Amino acid sequence: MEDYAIELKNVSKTYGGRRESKVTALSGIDLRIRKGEFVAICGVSGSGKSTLLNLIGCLDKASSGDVFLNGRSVNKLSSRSRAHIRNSETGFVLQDFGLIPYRTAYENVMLPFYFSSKRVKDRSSRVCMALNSTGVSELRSRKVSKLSGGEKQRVAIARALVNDPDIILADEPTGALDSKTKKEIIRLFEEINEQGKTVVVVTHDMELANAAHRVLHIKDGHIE
Amino acid sequence: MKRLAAYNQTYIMVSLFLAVVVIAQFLMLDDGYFDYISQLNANKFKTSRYEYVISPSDKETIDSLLNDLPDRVSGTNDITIVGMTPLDDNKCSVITYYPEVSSSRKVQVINGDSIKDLEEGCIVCNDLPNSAYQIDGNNYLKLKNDQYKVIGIGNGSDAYQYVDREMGASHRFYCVYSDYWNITTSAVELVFQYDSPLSITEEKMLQNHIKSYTELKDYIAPESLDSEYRHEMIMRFVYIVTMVMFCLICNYNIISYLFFKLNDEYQISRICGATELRITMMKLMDLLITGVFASIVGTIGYVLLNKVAGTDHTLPEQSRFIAINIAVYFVVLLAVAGIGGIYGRLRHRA
Repeated sequence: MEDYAIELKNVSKTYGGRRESKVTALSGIDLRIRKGEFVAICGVSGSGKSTLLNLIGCLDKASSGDVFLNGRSVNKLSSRSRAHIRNSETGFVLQDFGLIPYRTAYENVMLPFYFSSKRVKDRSSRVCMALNSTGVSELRSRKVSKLSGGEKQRVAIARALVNDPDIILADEPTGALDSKTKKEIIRLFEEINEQGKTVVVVTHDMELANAAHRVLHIKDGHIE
Repeated sequence: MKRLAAYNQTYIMVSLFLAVVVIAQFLMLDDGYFDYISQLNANKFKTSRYEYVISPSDKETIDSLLNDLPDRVSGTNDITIVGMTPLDDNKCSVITYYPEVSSSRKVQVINGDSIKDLEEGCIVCNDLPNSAYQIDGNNYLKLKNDQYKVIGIGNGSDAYQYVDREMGASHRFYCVYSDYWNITTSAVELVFQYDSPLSITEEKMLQNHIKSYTELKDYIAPESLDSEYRHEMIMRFVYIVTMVMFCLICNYNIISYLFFKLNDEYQISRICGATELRITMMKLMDLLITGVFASIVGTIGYVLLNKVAGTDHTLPEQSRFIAINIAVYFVVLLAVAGIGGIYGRLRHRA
């Protein structure tokens, strides 16, 4: 039996309470992503890509079907357990970086430890290692608001890596970057993947999609 | 977008609500309904004027003063009671307690309508300024300004500010207070002032200022009434600024609490592994800390500016202000958060 990092079985997601105002974002999604795979999910705006990423990342619950991370069903887990998975098993990278602008790069990367249920002794050195691995260790004491777009994204990736998660999820990670910086960030994702981590990126950007092992196209809530 | 629209609508609604509260409080200051603030306003007078307080038991001094009055001002020394309801117990307490005063002088009771007929130098008992204000407003006092030296006996509170402004320091305005503003004691305190209207002072404070009648003769009030007026305005301005600042912070916190799921920090915390409960608790803590901080900063600002304005509130008064600030903050916070919570649950159910 093959080991899957991510597995979705007949997953649907609908929003809205009333019958007439219900919106189906995803419908009957079956998806398997192997450990160490680099997958890009492409599609137009509103096609359901970000919803899919949110389900995989335990930010949202599927309305029906099941989501498995590393072989474990996460859809019926408690809020605390899902938070624990977000903290230690997945790392998120967002298009708008998702950093606290008035904090330093170091403090932003430290954030997952703040929410960690386990006490991590060497967290300072792990933060430094994460910043170093993304090439921004010299910016550790600089406030995020003073950083360039590329530097911010590197800090965001460092934060996603700091707890050494198996899965990295990125939502349009190159969307706010210029072409040169974009190439650097794509290379960074490739390096992360080469280290054995499963990488799933949602993107419009074909350059980033081409760097992936597999490209999935999503349209109207269905994978084509 | 819907949530953002709801955010904006709620922000505007809560802002309007708080603006109405602040404006209402400001308006209430004038009428003295907001007792505590009225008390603060009233108490400010005590520091800027000398007060001569004679114990009710010191009848010799009282008689001496009253007998001396005719020599000090020209005209009759009849006692005139002015007011719409002049004969209730409180307003006639001087006469009740000092029958010899009333027996030695002709007691004339006039209604507000007759206030213009006051004789120069008469002794006016009761709320002279209140009555004047209610009946004839500025006209009465301005009319008398050039020709009368009024001796007043009475009580009242906010109205004396009015007399201050209208009559001016050039007037010799004697007030003998029967009972003071809060009417909490049956004892009669007599406060004599020279060339200025009376302040309203608490009993304990009055006892600290007792001076002899001989000092009264030599005293000439040095302060201009302009400064009194300025103090009053600064007081109110500071109060309003404090409340507005306070409400803005309340508003920001309440709104951000109700809609904090829209905030970046909420999303960031979630992707970093925080539970909803943890984020809510963090936000509430933030809310509480900011609220207490705002209360303390607002109060310190209030106290400091009062000092600059020359007022002299006691520590208990200032402590009460702090307590009121914090209480107001939490009441508003809990009310709005409660309403928001119920609304959210109903929406969720729907």
